[in-house]
Amino acid sequence: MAFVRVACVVFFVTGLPAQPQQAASAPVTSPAQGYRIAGIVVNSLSGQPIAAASVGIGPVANQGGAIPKAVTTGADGRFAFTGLARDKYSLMATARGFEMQFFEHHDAFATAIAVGPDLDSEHLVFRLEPDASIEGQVTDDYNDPILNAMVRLFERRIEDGLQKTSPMNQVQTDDTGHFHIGHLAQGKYYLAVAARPWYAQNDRSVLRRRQRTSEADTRAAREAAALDVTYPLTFFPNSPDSAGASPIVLHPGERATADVIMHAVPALHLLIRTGGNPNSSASGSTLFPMGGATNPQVWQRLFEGYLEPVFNAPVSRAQPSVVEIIGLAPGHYTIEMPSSSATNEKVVSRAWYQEIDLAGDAELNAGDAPAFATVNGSVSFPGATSVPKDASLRISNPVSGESFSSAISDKGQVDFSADAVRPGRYNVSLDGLRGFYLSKSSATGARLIGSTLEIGGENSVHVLCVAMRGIGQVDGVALRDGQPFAGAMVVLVPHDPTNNSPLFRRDQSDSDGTFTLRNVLPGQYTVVAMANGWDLEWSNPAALQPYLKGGEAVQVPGAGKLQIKVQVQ
Amino acid sequence: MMGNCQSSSSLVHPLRVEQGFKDCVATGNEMRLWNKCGEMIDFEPLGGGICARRAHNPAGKPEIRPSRGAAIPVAMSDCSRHPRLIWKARAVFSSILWIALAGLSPAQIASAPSSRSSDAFSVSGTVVNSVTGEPIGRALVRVSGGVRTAFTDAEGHFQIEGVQEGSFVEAQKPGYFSPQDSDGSGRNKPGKAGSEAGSTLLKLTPLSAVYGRVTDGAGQPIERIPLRIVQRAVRDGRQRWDPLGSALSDEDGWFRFANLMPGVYYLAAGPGRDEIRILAVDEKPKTGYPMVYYPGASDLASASPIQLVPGQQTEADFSIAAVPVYHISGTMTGYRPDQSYGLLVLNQLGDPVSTPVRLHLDTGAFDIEALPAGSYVLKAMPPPGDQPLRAELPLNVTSNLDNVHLVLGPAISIPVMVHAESRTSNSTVGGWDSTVPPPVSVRVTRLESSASSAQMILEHGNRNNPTLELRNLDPGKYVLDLMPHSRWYVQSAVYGETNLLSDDLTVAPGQNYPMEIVLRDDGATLTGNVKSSDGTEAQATVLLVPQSTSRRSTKVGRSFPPNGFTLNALPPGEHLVFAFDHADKIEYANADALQPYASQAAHVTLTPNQETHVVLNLIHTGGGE
Repeated sequence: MAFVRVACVVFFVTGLPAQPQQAASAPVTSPAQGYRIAGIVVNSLSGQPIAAASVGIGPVANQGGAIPKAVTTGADGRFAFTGLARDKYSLMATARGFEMQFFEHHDAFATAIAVGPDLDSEHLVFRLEPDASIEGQVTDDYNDPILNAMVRLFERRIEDGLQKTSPMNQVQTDDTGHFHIGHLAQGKYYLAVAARPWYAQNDRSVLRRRQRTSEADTRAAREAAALDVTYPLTFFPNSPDSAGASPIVLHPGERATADVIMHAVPALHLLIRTGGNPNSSASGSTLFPMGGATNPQVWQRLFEGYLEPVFNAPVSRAQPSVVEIIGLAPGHYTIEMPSSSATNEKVVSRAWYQEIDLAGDAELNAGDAPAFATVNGSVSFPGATSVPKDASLRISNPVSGESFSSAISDKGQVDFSADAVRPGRYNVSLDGLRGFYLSKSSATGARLIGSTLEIGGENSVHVLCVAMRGIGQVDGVALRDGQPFAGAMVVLVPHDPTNNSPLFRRDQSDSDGTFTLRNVLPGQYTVVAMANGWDLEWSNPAALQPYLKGGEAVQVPGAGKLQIKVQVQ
Repeated sequence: MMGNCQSSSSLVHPLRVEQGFKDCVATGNEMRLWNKCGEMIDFEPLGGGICARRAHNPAGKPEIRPSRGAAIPVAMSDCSRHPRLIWKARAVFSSILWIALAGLSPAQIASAPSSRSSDAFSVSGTVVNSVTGEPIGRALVRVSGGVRTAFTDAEGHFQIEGVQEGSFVEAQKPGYFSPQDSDGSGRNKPGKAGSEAGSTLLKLTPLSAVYGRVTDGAGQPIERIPLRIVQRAVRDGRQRWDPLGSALSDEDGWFRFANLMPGVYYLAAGPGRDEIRILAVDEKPKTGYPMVYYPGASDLASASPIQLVPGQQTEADFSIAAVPVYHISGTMTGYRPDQSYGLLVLNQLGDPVSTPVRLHLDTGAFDIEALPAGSYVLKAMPPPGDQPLRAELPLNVTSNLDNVHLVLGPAISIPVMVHAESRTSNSTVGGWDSTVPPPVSVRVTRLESSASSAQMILEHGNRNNPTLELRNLDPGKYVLDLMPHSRWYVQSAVYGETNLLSDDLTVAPGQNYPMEIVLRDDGATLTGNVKSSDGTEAQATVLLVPQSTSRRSTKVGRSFPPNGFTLNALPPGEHLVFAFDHADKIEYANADALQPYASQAAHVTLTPNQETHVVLNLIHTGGGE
């Protein structure tokens, strides 16, 4: 069963007395009284029952909706729902120290409980994983605490079937340099700390104030250099580069410690000659916070290529056409100037980007920097009388996390020209449209194969997308030794998986071994079921290869449901 | 944050204010600048957090005094853009306030009786913790102007060579602030110059912290309960509740408020929800946590203050038992259907309560899921606009409430008519040109016991719109502060029947008359000196209190030896003049608060355009540090 991110009503209430288990010792159910879901909630680490755990159920078909029933476990950890109609139910539970979890959950999937004749739904053991946490101390070279440092937590996990390291939380250190991140699930985490030295003085304009003697000038310059420093983004335990980051592997209930020492390094200054907009009113040395509409933005690529904004490098605008990014640590950066969309700015400045390796102060001439790709095109809807409303086309780079969306006009036009689209591999998909899929699409100025748009050096890209109606569904049962198998990972693998990653579908078999793969586009697929594939990069063709021959080939027509059986590997 | 001052007057220079003080300065009255002669240097709010300041006196060091913090002498440094102006009759001060997370501790570098180059001075010394006396390592020491700097070593020592005569040094480090200074006691001894290299002692005072744990009746931690810390302080002679911070308890129930100045604080926790529970589709929460003031009071008046001395780390734990929660429903009417409104429930401190509030704009029906018993305000949040409709309704919750009716109405705006009557014969300083904003700033602050709901509006006009108007006021009672500029004083101020020089401003629906202010420029000048009981001249805060019953606006100045004080643009009439050693905690806006000292005050009669000199006896309050 797949579930949409918990949108159910979870509430914080207090000290409710543990409700008596109405049916804890009820007689065996008969269809006339309805069916039962019953079992015990235990701590996955200790196996001990969890008292006062809150347990809820809802029909699977009612995904994301309100929870029709909820009970609280007694001192023995037992729970029971009675009077249930024949159906499949999502089962979830939470308790103090246990974030809400679905039964036998893996990523966004879980095992739903099927109730009905000859189905045992009354001996469930719900293993809740206790929350883990990470805490630590951020200090400087002199063992002084760094307050208000931004601690970024990244998690490495399988996302859309590929190994990815993405940000998942951030906190700030307190006045003692301490931070704490709680309610973490088990997993592999990385920590990065961003901060600016409290004494940093990166604006060099103060040095332009002449002293009375050259000796004093020299002294002032030397002292100013001691303040013209910054901290690189520092990965636990002690690396300015994500490649040198050590994972923090959290087990359920673990309280990990991760201290980070920040080393101040001389700040580098990047002077950017924007060459444009001499009418700008900026004069004098004005400090802007990062992220202003017409200021360059600075990014760093982390891990597999995730684009992380640089938080601690202010921008100084000394002259209208010269921008200085002050306070950068040595490293590789992506600088980009978004097209100015400020409403009161008549002159639209040229948008550009530049990858740059900084080892010392540098200058960048914006005129020499490459422009973003201009992506536009059209989406046609053969057979439809008009373009559906509120539809949009999305191109997203799964590696960097960049994602752009363009509304589809009533004439079917899409335009990404205001977006900062760099060369790279993008997935193309339709947003806000149920029952449509992209087919036979093509592009000029870039390669568009299947639903993968590969933008190279060409600046002008035109896509021609065809949206077809028709969504199928594959229902099935996972079997091992002829018996239904609960909790298997089920993957629908498209033909030519390399270029069709948006066509993958996944589910987890429920307590009766059944599964449902929804929103399947027409075509040739293989359905694979695995008993223990949780660490598998399930949309990576190479990783899947060994399992494909044991899978079940299916041909999905334009619409309707298929019924299949798959052997669990 | 730095502004460009475009004023044609060379006397007006921008003050660069580091983060954290922007708002204070922008209000125009929360930070004041005096020079060593005791003259106040006006701040002129220019908008956007930028203030210009004006120096009236050629000599002496200006002193920047954040109203809540310590007095901080800041070095006079040259302004490189106007070097020649500095030694002219009217000085220009240009310096930078380096206050944010760190404190400042200054000392002046003495002039040496030598004919050597004026750069040939050096300053060395030690930065110490004013409470423990321990040296502070890695403190940043700056010579005035901020160009010359040094860090202290592990023993707190620093040395800076080749500094200019007359410079100040100041120290900063996160977690510290500068102690009350320049009271003439010489705590910060000036550094000796040149080769003699005497030692300067710079003191930094550690900031304080309050932390604690929130648990339920069973001793289990309560997570994500909102916490709020407010400081009780006297500002502008009135007791105020300043909201200083908010936090949520962590999963173990802990919270922490740090970097607090010494003072009196109150803590509040809740209202909140606790234990994660899955609720069935028709289930509503039945219990929750009420709002509790430390240690367990239900209102601010019965709460216990938390007194923090410098460097103190105090634990303040809460134990909060769950109580029933109630469901509130009703309708909102009077809104325009094309506008999007929000509904907020505010607690007694004016903070929004995080309970689900559903508002159906098609019918106006709203419901609020779970509120513990208590006093709240239901407030409609209008979309931004010129003439917003608004509504506020006090809710006293003791049970479920149905049929609550919230009626939106127009916000109240009060035009301010200013009549500036020039009575001077000097034609170059005639009346006020009506194409520029009138020479007065008007500030209204809502009078509520609750801190953060205090609505404050500052109106000083601008070049585009020289007329003054107090816009979008909620009904209620307000304190009015009139801040005339330079040579003007307030002769009278009325709003309907209300004499605003003696009474608070009450704003109610249906009022549509203006506030009328008469300014005059024939004010008196009072100069003076303050003597302590041993006959030596003392530093003091001088309060000038009008004795007319129709007038209670008190003028405040500072007196520094040897020049004493000068107060300008004073309304003629009878006054009592007080010279206090510490006036920080005196609620001088309340006449009763000054009564115990009245016998020690001087009585002066001021007449138009006259200068009067007084010698005042220092009044010891026993307060202060």
